[in-house]
Amino acid sequence: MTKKNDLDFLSEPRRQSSVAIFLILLKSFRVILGQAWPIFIALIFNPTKSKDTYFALAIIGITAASAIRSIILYFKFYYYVKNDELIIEKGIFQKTKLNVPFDRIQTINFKENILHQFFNVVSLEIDTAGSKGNEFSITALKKDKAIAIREFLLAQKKSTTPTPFSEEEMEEEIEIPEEELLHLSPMDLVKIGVSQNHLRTAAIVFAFMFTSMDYIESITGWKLENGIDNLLGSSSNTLLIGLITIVPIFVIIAFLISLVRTVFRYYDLRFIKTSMGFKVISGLFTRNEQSASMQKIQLIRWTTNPIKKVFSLFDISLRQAASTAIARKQSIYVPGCFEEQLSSVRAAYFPEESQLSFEEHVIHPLVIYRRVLYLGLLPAGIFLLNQYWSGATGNYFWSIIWVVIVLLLSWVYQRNFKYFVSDEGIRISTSIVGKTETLLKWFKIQGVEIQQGIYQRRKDLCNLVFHTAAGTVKIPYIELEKAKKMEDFVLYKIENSQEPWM
Amino acid sequence: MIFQNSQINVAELPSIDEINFQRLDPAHVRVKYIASTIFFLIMLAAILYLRTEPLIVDHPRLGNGLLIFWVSWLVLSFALTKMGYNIEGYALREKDIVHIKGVINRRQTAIPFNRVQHCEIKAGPIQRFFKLKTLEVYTAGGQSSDLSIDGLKGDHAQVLKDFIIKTTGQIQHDEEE
Repeated sequence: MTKKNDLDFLSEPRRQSSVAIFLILLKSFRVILGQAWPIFIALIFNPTKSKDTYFALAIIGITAASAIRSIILYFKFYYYVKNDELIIEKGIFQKTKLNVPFDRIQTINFKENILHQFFNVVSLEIDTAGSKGNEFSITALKKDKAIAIREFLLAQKKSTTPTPFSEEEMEEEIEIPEEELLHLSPMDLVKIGVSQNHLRTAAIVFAFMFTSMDYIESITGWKLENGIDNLLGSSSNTLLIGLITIVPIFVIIAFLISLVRTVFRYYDLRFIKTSMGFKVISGLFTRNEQSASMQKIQLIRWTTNPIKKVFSLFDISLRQAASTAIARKQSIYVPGCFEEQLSSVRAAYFPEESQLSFEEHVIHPLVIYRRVLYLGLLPAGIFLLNQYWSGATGNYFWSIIWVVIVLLLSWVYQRNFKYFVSDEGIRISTSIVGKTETLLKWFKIQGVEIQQGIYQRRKDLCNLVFHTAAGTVKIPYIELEKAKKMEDFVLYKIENSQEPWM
Repeated sequence: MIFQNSQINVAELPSIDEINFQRLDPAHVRVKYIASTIFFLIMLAAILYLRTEPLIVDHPRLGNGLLIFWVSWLVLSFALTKMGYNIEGYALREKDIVHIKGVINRRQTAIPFNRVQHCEIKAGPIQRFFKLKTLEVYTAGGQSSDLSIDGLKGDHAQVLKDFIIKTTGQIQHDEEE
């Protein structure tokens, strides 16, 4: 592997940019702050409690210690390349030596927040997708150096990965210039912000308020509960009116939160098709750059909802191989795509899709009864039993409404659940209110599972689950006979596939 | 790109339906019984301690309820262990490994060898006493599709592992430590 390069600096141990000291320190502050913020709040509102002063002293001590720690960490951190491996040495007391063979590297990502941008450095994150989750990062590197390292590693990787393709085919891979697929304008951002799932955000805000209420009360001595009681009136008759007034407030708050979040995260988003795969750069303060080579992308999924449909928008996610802990970080997520970008992504992942014939299948209607039983009747029954025990005169109305809603949604779910099978892959389409479609090529699958409950065994039905390196794809309530045939076929396809799947 | 699509006769594909699953070593049931016994003894101790609490002394029905709960869980657990042993099995094919388990929810998982990342052999203290091993088969990207076969005879686990590794043809990480 002799390569002429100006990367000689990689062959001997190097430290990262000295900005790293500052960044490590800042990071430990953020961790401490994240753990100890209630204490800080308590200190602000209740300065008399002597117990808390000890906490404060402890925090100052920890702060000083972490400052010293980050300086030592900086001086003990080396990276270099040796024998086709990227090696990182670090640690104060427990020395760690990480060896990453080039062909194990899954993704190389840059991350810059506003401070990185100020110092013109980036943080380099490398994921290896091992089951043990041994991803690692270099906190701060001069940007040009980081780019050089990435290019070097990608080039090495290409040459060390055994490819079944013949020589000519390798040569055919001419560097295709980068092509910008999508560039979000401020107007697009507003559209995306508007079409977020506000009910979900509202629920999160609501849950957060309720769980942290006790906490805030105990620290500040405010009586929030009284306030809410006053606001709503404590008798249950006015509960409904209270709900009617408070739900829109939460939805409006949620709406504003989603809008701000959208602008922060997706400001100036650029979705780029590179010679290897795709790249997304976005963010207002923290510029995130994520790239995925086509080979690493395991499946693609796109979703839409009624509001998005009005704007004809899709959210596309490209799921990459990754250990579960960081799986979310590793999936490239592009909000606000149009049909054009979607078909471009589909064509890149599954070039044969448009030429193959897909057979349409549906899932068994019995799934409706099961869903009604577990999600509808069971909760309603518990609710009624609870009412009975607490002596309240049975309030059947809400239980019946609940069951009817679940029945209706389950019926829609079963009607709209479709899967399309072809020789090379599968497309699954589900929709209740929003619509989600998943595209998966057979050879990306790494495990096939057939699940059967007692009821399903009686009815000769099962759930068919495909495991991939980027998560699972499940078809519920499919006929056992069909599932077995598909399993045999999928295993055949995987076992005969020579293509590297990740 | 050259697109090949030779026709496949689906009916002639090797079917998992025709597999005979290998059963686990009989000692496996004993290992599970012992582990459960330890668990239930600890639970019994906790319940007996709880019965001296004033709240439960005042409400004897609550105390009895706890005992009934303990007995029924114990019986159910032992019954499920026995039934589970009769169901659980694995099959090694030329190109994949298939594992089946579960009394209530049955799961049959197949992992092709060319998707295996690495294998590990593990043994708990009770397993070691009976000279049993657990074989764990890992795939990339998280635990969802990982396979774990309990109750293998020591040398059998090693043979299985060697076979999988050889077939996988991948560099094997040595077991930790």
